[in-house]
Amino acid sequence: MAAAAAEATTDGGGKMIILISADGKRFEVTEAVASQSQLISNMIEDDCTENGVRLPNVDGDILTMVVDYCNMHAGDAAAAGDTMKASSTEEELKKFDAELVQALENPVLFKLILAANFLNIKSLLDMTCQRVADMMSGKTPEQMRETFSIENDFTPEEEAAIRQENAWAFDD
Amino acid sequence: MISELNDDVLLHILCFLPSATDVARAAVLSQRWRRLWALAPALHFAVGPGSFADEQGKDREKFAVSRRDAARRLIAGVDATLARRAASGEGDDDVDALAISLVYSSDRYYFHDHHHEADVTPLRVGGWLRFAERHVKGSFALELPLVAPVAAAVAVAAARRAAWEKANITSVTDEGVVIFVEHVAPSANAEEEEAAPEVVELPRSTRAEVMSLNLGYATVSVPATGAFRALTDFTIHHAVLDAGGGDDDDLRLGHLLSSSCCPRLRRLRLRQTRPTRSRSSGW
Repeated sequence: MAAAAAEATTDGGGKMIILISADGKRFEVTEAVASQSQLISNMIEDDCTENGVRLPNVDGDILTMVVDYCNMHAGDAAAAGDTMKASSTEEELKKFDAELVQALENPVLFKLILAANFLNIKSLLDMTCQRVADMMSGKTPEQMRETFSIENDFTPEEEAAIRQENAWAFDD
Repeated sequence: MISELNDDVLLHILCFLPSATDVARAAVLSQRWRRLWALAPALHFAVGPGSFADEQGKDREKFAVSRRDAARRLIAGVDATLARRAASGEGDDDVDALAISLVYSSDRYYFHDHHHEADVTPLRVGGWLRFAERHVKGSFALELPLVAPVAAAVAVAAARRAAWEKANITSVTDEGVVIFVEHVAPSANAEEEEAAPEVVELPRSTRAEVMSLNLGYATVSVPATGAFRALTDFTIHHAVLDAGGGDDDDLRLGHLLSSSCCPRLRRLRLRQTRPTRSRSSGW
């Protein structure tokens, strides 16, 4: 087992917990970092993180990104109570976030969305959903289908009827 | 694959689409997207910045017409979309955030540049406010150019002023003293426009938390009984408060601001909002 422990500095974050991906990779993070996930935060409250937290539907490479993101944003959560404590400046965070989502290929982006949704990390979910919306915006339905490999399961008549219904959105 | 995402996530993605036009186009993607489209939690209709650059060349008339037509299409889209949502009944498909902006966002536009004013009738605006009342649970923003009757009155006044000025000038060459006298009167008071302002009633919403209403000097009435239970943030501008069957305007305004009308209100902004007549002198 490759123990790809993340560099989690214990800057007062308290106890460490272990996250275990679907493919058995282990990540050691502070509770402060991990509790950005509402799911894990609830588990910490219920005292059931002793033996590590198994995440059977998150792959190691996706969990690496999630942990990186949470490490980077751990300052946010702390800053909510203590504005002097932010570990990264706002610009650094914005840059980090932008580079993270821009670089993703669609399949990875969707896996990251699934992970953010499962782990319930709102800021990461918003950011990744925003990215998808940006890719849809201003496109024709044909372009959207192509971008996201969406299968058109309408009959031609059905599609024509729906276009008619939303004609205002197409006349240009 | 995007199809692996669950419905809640896809609806969340729809929330981030900048315009209701994008949302409507997504309805055409597949059966699943069509079903989700009908539940889209956020709808933002906006005429956008307007393209001022288009206005410079010799084709400016043509561009003005195409811009007006685009705005009219959007207005038709608002009507069609809201009618469909209203018809599907109350419940899960209520809208979290509805925004309708018919004012060009470029600061180079002024009220008189909005050639779709005639379509912004009090009847239609009233329909949108009623929709918000029944089907919007989070935030509602409405931004209008001059509503049709006001725009028409302004146009009439402007035409009269122009005619008067023209008459004034021609009177010099034609020595038309009579013409001059005829055209002086109207600019003083245009009584017929004030005879019957079409009143729209503010949405009596128990669920909306944030409302921002820029009403293009429409005449609005304030609901008589407790109306905005959940409202915390309320902006209203370019509105004319209706006297409402003889009530004093000040009382109406006082009622609007009262804790019985808006028990949770934390922030209220009133701008360019005045009573129908100037008889109340208190504010």
